[in-house]
Amino acid sequence: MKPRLELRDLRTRFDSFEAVKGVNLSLRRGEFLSLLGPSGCGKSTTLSMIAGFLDPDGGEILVDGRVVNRLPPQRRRIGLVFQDYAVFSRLTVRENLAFGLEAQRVPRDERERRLSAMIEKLDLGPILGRYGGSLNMSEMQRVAIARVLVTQPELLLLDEPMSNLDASLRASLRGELKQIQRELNQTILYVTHDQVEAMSMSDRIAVMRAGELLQVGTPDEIYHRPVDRFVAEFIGDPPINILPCDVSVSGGGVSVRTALHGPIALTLHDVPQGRHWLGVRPHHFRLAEAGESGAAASIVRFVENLGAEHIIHVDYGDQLAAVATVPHAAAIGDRVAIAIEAGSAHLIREDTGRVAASVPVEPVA
Amino acid sequence: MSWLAVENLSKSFGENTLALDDVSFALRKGEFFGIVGPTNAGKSTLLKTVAGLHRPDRGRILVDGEDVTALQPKDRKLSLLFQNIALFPTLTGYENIAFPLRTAGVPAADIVRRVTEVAEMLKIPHLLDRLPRTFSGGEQQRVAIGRAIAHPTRVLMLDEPLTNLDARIRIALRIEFKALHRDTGQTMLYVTHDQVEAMSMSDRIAVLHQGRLQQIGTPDDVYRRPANRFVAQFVGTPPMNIVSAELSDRDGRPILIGAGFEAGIDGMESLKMRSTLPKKIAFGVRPEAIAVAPDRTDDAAIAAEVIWIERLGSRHVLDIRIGEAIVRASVRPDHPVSQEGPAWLGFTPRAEHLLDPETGLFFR
Repeated sequence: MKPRLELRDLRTRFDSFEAVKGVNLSLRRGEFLSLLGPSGCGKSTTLSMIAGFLDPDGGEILVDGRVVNRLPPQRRRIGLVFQDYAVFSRLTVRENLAFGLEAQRVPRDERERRLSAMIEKLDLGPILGRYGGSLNMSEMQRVAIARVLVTQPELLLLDEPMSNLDASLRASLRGELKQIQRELNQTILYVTHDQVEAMSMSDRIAVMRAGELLQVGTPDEIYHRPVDRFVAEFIGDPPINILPCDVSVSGGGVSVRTALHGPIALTLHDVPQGRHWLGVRPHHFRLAEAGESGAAASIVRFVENLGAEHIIHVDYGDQLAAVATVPHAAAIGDRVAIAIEAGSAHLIREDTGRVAASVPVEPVA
Repeated sequence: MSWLAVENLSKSFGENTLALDDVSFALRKGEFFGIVGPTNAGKSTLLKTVAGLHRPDRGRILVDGEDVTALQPKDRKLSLLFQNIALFPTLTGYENIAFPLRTAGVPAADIVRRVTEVAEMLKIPHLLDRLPRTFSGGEQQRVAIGRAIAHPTRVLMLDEPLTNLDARIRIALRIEFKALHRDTGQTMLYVTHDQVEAMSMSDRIAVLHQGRLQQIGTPDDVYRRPANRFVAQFVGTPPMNIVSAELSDRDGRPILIGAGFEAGIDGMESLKMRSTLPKKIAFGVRPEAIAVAPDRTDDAAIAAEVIWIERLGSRHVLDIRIGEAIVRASVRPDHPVSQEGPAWLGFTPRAEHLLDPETGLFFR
């Protein structure tokens, strides 16, 4: 089956600034894919090109295998949900829903048929007569999505729809959006700078920086096997520890040493000697017994209390490292021993920022 | 005796907006006291009223036993660091930090020593000779923090001092605030919307919502024994599950009967109100306190269905349907239940997590 959406070497520039530098991406039918990156990375620009609001300088956009570059937005069969949902506050829910269909001059019978179907699917019956301005955010999200879905798009685009909302409200809206998407098997491309949003809703995530896609994968792949330092740091809360390390070759083996840990034997041989980084997630450190093989002593400087767990911040060379622990495992000022969980550190090349390998952590005897 | 006492403070703006509704709390000398709540809870209004920038409609503010409610802000001898910092634009970083020291008549040599000390602590020695217009947002914030902490004050009040700073500087400054507190015994009143920050910094926290104090207690107390539904779901991520059930007895032991499940209760003997509990009840259970298993076990004997898994990297959050209820459980990513579908659940709510579904108050 052809992908619902395919981008081939999509690119655009504003004067001399290359905003999108040759993006290749495809979405399967029914897939929820998030385009994730910091502000200014080109994600919204990419979305504008897909929607048809901005002409690319190069590359192709295909919907169901058909190039749509030259089609106007309304003929691409792509629906766009705006930031903050933007439901018309002075129109009723029914009028909001009918708005797009009237604009498209869908015949009355067809219009009514689609409206009834959508009202039932998204359970909008009880609020049909209410004005947009009187809806709560959960209702507004449903109306904003329903209003686009009645135009029967093959693909739904959402551009940071929840960016201005409180954290707790965002969490419940995420669940509801994902539920709608699954029930309708709707293909969604979701643009966000919030890694928790992307991780919690997506089948796959495409991480973007400076106009380029760095990695496309499932949330688990992106978290456990990041391809470079940027992805490793952008994904995960609390963030990954980036620790300076030394890679050395001795007696035919390659080993790595940080301020506190090592030597750790490496199985790979194509990393140049010298300074690199070791990326270790807070959940891949653990408290160990003093004197345990592979454990190193340090001092706790701060304890973050998350209720269900505590993140302790310990001295690590001339910086701090975050270590996830059970509550009350250690207090400020305590001496602790910390170890790295086997196979869960990432060696990151200093010159390219690429992850060279996930490191099997076994102390060298 | 309390060092700062706020008694029955109310403040409204216009007729319909009661920003503070009968708020009372007291700080001990040297205490690190956090005030936490969502946007528009009344946190900033509370600080400004204590500082003297707002006049309360009712209530009193006492510092060291002295009623300061009618005093001008400067006469209260309190310091307030605003969220929107304002440095003196024509003064250098150095003079900004030195300002409160000069006002207090600190000797010149001590001023030099103290400003240098503060600047090193905040990693801003390079800003001392420069004017604020050349500072980035984060640098302005650090200089303002330096000015606020340079000179001891009866109560140092901080209004979201670390918002808009990047994660690493935030951790560094949290450590500095804690060190300042430990080393000098400075009494701190710290306002934040970030429940993790409040839980991590404070000796005690007060949870504020819609202008009303919901609960005052140590971070552990508020997490383990929330006073009401709001606190239970505001503190902790993902929030505490709250499920309706009927309280009943079987073989002389209290049980909860819900739609599609039964559960025992832990620690019922400690509950004073046991005999007066209503039949229709609700209970709370934290996502990490729910056992999930692929097959039925003694600890997981409730038939359930996992309908969605959020894979957040360091943990998986499972949405699970039991009967008509949906609960969320938090498990390690290597947990054996890793796909949507049938599963078995177990939980034994604690007696202090029984609440009245009407009022949202936990029974104590």
